[in-house]
Amino acid sequence: MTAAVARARSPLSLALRRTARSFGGRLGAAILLLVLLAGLCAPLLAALEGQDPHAFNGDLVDGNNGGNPFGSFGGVSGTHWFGVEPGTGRDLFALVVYGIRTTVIIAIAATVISVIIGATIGMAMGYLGGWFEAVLGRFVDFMFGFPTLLFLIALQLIVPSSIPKPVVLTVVLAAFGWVSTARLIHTQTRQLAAREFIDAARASGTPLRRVFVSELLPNLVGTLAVVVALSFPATVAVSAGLSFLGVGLDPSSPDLGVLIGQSITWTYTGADAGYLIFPSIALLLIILGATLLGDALRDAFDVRTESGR
Amino acid sequence: MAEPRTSVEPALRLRDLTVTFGGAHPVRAVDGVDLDVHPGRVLAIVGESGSGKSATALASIGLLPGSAEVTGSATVAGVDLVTAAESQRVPLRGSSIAMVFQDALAALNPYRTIGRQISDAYRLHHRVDKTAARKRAVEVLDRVGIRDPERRVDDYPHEFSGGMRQRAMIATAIVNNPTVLIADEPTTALDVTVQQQVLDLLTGLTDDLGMALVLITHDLGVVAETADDIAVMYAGRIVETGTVLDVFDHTAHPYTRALLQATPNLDAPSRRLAAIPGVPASGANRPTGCAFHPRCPFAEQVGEACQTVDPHLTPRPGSALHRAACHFTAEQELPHV
Repeated sequence: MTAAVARARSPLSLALRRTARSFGGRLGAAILLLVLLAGLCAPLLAALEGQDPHAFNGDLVDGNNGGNPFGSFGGVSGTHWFGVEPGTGRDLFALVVYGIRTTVIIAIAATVISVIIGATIGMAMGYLGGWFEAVLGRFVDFMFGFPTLLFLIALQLIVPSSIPKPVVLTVVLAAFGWVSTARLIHTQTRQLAAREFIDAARASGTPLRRVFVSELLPNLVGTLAVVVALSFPATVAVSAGLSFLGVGLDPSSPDLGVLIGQSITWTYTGADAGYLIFPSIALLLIILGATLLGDALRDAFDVRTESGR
Repeated sequence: MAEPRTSVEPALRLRDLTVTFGGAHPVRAVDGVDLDVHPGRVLAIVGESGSGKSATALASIGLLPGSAEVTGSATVAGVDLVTAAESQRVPLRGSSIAMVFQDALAALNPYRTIGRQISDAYRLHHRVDKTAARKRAVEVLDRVGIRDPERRVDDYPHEFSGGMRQRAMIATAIVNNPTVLIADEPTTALDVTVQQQVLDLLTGLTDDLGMALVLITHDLGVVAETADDIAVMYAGRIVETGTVLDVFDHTAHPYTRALLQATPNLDAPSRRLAAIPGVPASGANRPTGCAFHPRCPFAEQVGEACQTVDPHLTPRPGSALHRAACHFTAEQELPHV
């Protein structure tokens, strides 16, 4: 290590350095960065290919063959790198990169919101204790045993269509995603609250709000980093799952879950597997990259994610 | 050793302080403790585990958990910390009464630099900017004997040695010049060689800053060298109190005597250490009469009173402060250790 980082010796920077040194951490970060960059530069990449995710190309699909694309492997060619979507003939490469963008934005927003909610509730429960902890603890248990998926499906059907679907999906994912975070942060805070430095801080006259912000929070940053890194891929999977079931985003919107959901039908009826494979690989890379990075962070911070009491 | 200055207003005054831990079987951990700690003096509270010495300290600063019921009074700077609202207590903590904990590694926040923790404690009670607070942190670190404080101020606790961490925690506690400093077993977690340095530092600070130091310990060796006054606690009560000379040379309570006999003495190294027979009494299983009578070698000489009558603190030979709660009368001095 060079002299530039010689001062970085906080437990936080030490753990981040351990993550950066581990193979899993590097690989995960590299994969994640690659896929995120593709999503971020979606319009650029589509323009580079010379295609548009919303343009229908009826001439590229064989109407006599149920709308299957012409050409092998879903119509892969120099102009359509991943081939085209059966039926509509939309460019699949453009759909995938735009799809990554949609999926990632929704998952990041939902993860951030749910982690903020979960961390706040978990910290308050763990530190304040008493009836507050008891009541909220029951609520968390209730939420944990709640048949989330059924509720999400039902909810999507009754929400007025004037609210944009991506917003609904984000809110719904966040509203149910915070529970495990709250549990983990709750147990961690309880352990921290019993540590002497909290007493020491109180003995020097630290008010309650500052105990949370200055004493508890810095000690939970590692855990929160791990929680974010590990719940992000889980959120991606759930959001894709909902879209796959047809209760997430609109079928026409470019989203990995939607694409995979629709491709299943085509693959069943004998279409080339290209339509299924390309979006699936993109989804796999996001989840794999984030999970590898999350595992590396967890090892570096030595966080026990099992919420044993 | 300075003569007791009873005329001066005590920095910390405990009156009938009682701590009961609730639940199905309430335990009286501290039972009617009266204590005065004067500025510039060191009071040692001595006792076994479970004697209530730590609970007394935590009650004095108002840090006991909500499950503990505290009655009586603990007056610091004219405010009774037992009855005062939390909003009144918070500004007093750190500025008027501060605490040093046993394990500095546990009592320092591992994720924040030493300097941040000291300057934050300072800024809680002083309206100054970060630069001034940092300057003060360096100054206090220098005062507690950290070498090269300009550089070490940005270190994290894990980069300090055990003794240095204890010094850093003392720095956090004294940064606001408190009138009372409570040190709960401040040297127990340290090497013997470092213990003496930390004790010297604490007594030096007591003299320089005119603080009242409450030293909680089970180590009578520490007491002899450091303290001015002693309060010996057993089963939640003070059984003997006085100056160090009173208690060491005119030992009036059999429990104190037993503690002294259980302490190694370099002047008489060949003597076998005497263990105190039986189990320590606590608030949960308090014997009738004198709580110490089941373990007391003199109970037979005194007779039935020990088992039936609760002894009160009465004057004993020595200085005016010397008192003990024992049925052995003031005239009968215990055999010297």
